[in-house]
Amino acid sequence: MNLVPSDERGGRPAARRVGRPSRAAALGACALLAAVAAALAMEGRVLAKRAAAAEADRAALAASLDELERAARTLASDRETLRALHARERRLLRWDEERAAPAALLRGLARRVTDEVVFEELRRANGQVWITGRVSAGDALSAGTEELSRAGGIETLELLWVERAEESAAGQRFAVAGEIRYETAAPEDRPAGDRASNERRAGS
Amino acid sequence: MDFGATSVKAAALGHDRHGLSLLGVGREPVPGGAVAAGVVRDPEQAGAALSRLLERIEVRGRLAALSLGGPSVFVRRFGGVPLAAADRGGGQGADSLREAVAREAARHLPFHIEDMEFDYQPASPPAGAPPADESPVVFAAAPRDTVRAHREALRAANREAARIEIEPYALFAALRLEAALSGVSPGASSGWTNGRGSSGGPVLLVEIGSSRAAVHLFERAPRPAPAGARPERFLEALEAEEDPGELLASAQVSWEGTPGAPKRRSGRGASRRAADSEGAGLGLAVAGAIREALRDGERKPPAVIRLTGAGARKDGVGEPLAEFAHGPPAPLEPLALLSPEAAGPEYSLAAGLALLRLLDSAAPARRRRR
Repeated sequence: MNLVPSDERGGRPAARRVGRPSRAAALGACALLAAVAAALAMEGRVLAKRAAAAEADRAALAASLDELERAARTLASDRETLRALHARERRLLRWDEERAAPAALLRGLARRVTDEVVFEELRRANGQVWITGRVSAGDALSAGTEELSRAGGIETLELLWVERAEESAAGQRFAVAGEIRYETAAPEDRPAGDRASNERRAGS
Repeated sequence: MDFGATSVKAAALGHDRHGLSLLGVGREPVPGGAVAAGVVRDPEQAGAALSRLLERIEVRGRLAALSLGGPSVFVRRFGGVPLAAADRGGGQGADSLREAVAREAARHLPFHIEDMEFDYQPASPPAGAPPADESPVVFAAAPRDTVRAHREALRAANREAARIEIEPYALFAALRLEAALSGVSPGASSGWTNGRGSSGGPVLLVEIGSSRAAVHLFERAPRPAPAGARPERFLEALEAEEDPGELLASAQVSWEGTPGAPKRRSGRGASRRAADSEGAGLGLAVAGAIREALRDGERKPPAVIRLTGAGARKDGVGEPLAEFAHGPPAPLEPLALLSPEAAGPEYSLAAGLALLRLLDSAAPARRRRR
């Protein structure tokens, strides 16, 4: 008779006895292990290849990124250069226009100049042309200005005023006086030095 | 291990090709109150005492056998268990058998069986009874808390309980040990042939501790080992016998109310002269319990009476018991046949437990060899 509960006799639980595996079971287990190991090895190789490819792609991407940054810097630099070139071009064009506008004006006016037309003074300063002459010069001035405006050679050409004196006034030196304002481009694109030099050149 | 009210006793047996040997035996005082009425009240203190004892006698086994006795243990023999029917109950015979016993026991138990640890021993039907499906069993149960306390005491000494045997069967095992040793030990005095016992009549095992006493009635004494048995075959012979004992009845001796008990030394009336000595007072109380056991077991004197426990040494204990026996009751000292230093009836319980433990541990190995 034993009052110790049957499941607690012997102190510690008895270890479960496991029979020896059969030879076939051992071979099967070995084959299974080998297959699993081979599959793992193949998978490992694939993973290694993928890792190498990913590393190469990463290097290529890094190189591309560097190239892109260089290109972006070059583009910004080129844009700046282009902007400078455009500014220079505009400046040169303005210079040409400034240089050409009075000449064109004068040529236009000259085509109207006949023997009767006498221009006493033609003075150019700050985009305006100051003209004085005899009475006959007044018509030539108006017609020439209108013709030049139609031709479009000068961006803005405005005959500001023409005053006509009486023809009969004795001793009057000027029979007509007028002023023409012209513009070729925005004043801010014009470098101060260039404008001054242009004016000097034009004045000379 | 035997936890007593004043001391814990331990005995360890070993067996090899030279036969049975006593590995160690001893006793160690237990602090007062740690064990009372057969129940461990303070597992820590009881375990500490056991630990000191085992260290002193150099016993290192981890698994141990304990005994439970006293008024808290319910031992009853009853019939009406359909053992044969339960046995036929398919593959779960043991479980259905246990359930059948539990159902029958619930009718006899004054407690809830759910709160008890129990076990049973199939018993032989009375001689001359017609064969029937229902067989008698000896049923034993102890409160789960009591069993747990004893196991905790063992754990406090770093041991585990492999078996908790009830006191009557542990004592009967001691009797078996003595009977077997009397056949194989050259110097053994044969207690079964010189008048101490006879294999024919009932046997009364009287355990007298320092705080309690009990009487256990068995149908017959164990068979002595055949003369000239080889020492190395000792355990096999015992195991082949498979005789745990046919317990008929157990009776507790009411100790506190007994004239002559430590707290009541004054005797009265007709027993005054006998009660003048403590032992005689005890003897009278034991005699009352013997009558009760004989009545319950439906047996009549004379019987073989063996005294165990430290109280068996007291003078005058045996005198009131002579009327039930063939002669003056003799103390049971099985270990004395192995070592003269281990003599003493106080070790008989521990000796019986050691034998049961030895049989338990040796049986699986022998079964494997077969």
